[in-house]
Amino acid sequence: MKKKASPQGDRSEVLEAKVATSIITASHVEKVFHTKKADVTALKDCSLEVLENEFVCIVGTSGCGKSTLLRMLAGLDTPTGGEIIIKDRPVLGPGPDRGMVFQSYTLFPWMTVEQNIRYGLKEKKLPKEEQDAIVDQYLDTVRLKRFRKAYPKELSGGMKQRVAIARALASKPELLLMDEPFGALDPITKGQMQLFIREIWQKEKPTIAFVTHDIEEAVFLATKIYVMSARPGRVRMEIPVYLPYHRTPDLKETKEFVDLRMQIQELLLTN
Amino acid sequence: MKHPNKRVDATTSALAPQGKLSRNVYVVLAVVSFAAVFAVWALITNLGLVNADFMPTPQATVQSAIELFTEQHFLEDIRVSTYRVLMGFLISAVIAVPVGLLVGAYAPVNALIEPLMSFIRYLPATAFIPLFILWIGIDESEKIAVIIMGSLPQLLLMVAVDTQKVPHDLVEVSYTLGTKRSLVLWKVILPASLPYILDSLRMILGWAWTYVVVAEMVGASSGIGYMMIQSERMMVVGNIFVGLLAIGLLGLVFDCLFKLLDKLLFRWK
Ligand SMILES: Nc1ncnc2c1ncn2[C@@H]1O[C@H](COP(=O)(O)OP(=O)(O)OP(=O)(O)O)[C@@H](O)[C@H]1O
Ligand SMILES: [Mg+2]
Repeated sequence: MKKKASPQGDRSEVLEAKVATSIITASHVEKVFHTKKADVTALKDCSLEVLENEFVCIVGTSGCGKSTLLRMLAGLDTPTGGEIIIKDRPVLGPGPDRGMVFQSYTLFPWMTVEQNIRYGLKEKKLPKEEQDAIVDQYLDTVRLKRFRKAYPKELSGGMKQRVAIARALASKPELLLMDEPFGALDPITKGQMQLFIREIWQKEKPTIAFVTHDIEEAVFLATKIYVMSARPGRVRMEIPVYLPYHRTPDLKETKEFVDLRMQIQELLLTN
Repeated sequence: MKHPNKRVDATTSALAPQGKLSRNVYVVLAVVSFAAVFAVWALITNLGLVNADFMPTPQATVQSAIELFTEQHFLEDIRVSTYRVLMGFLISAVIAVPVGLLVGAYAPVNALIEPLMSFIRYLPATAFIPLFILWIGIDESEKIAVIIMGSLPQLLLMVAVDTQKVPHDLVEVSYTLGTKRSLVLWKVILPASLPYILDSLRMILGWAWTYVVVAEMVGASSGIGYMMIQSERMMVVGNIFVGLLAIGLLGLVFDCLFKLLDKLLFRWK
């Protein structure tokens, strides 16, 4: 069910999304890490919902449990309480229906760009021609056609993350999870990558849950923002983002943008 | 900053820690070190500073080499020793690499094997020579057994450590791309750790040479070590030097082969 693109951002974008199916329903999720020294409660009573085609950003201060939450959505960690439902099914473990992009560079270093993107398609056992078509399509999407035979060590940080995004999207996941994917990039590259991922979202409408501690990044990208409290992490507020649908860097200077940014900053400061 | 270029150079210059050296300079320096050792050797022996019974001149060593190769089938000794080393090495590798992978990847296998191997590793392989002679005799298999005894536990533990060097992120990302848990060792951990494993193999092959020479000095009738111990009994010090040089050169050749293999296989590194 693809949602029509409305020319400007307005309430309808968000309201329309409300009737869409729910992809993530996390209710009262709790995560306690039992370490030798003490029990660390990373998340407590954390609830959120992500609908189909939404671009949701989760912001919170360092150590509030954003990565932990995302890892549990991916099935790489299990909650100690509460429930996570992804598309009507409880999460039992990691799987190709939820793609993940990490902050650290996780391309397979022994594979070329092309082979990395193809990896998930091979795992799905798609026919060769279909694999070729999808690989070509995503090489094009991430503008790395010239580098298809390059190895990860030959790529810049931004290029590596583009390949990682292409690799995750190529498997056509129901949900794309991103954990500060641009956190290690310089500000200029970071800005380009933000435009880039927003473009991809506008074109293909993947459902995205994107974790960051960069408020500006969250406001620029999201259709909806969840603001988390400090540890133990909990969703403090759900903020829909009513900004223009087509986002360009100069949006960051507009009053609406700055106001929203400040509002979230306040929230984070008054934890 | 008057000399920005100089400042940048300062951290990567050849004299800084972890600095870089051009290929040519590297080769020159390596040759210089060989030449220096050789020059000292030639000098002190030819000037008569040491007793020729204990240290031969380079010329005498060349003479010994010619005699060894032409009259005492030294080539056969080299062949036998190389065969023993390679057999012991290959058998160790065939067992230690797969088991090491399992030890590195799976905690229960680790618990079963790692502590045991760590214990065995401390038993000097050469101390097993008397036992192996009793059990196996003094034929080829005894020499190979000594090499395996020295190489296998070490290699196994090194491979286990190699697999643990693979970032866990890579494993996790493969899960999110649909890789099954039962196949992740094969699809991710093995290819990612292969360069490290190759390097461990290279180190172990070097040690295997030590073991073969010791094994050949006890209860053997051929091999470089045998030739050397015989020469010692007959006070032919030139032969001992030829033996040493032969082992060094063979080691260097195998080392180079491994480095070549590394370049060919792991262009991605
Ligand atoms: N495996 C673990 N064992 C013990 N404690 C953990 C573990 N993983 C995370 N924690 C703790 O849980 C809390 C939340 O960690 P998490 O990595 O999710 O934070 P984060 O919001 O992603 O932070 P950052 O912005 O720095 O990435 C932290 O206090 C951390 O120390
Ligand atoms: Mg984190």
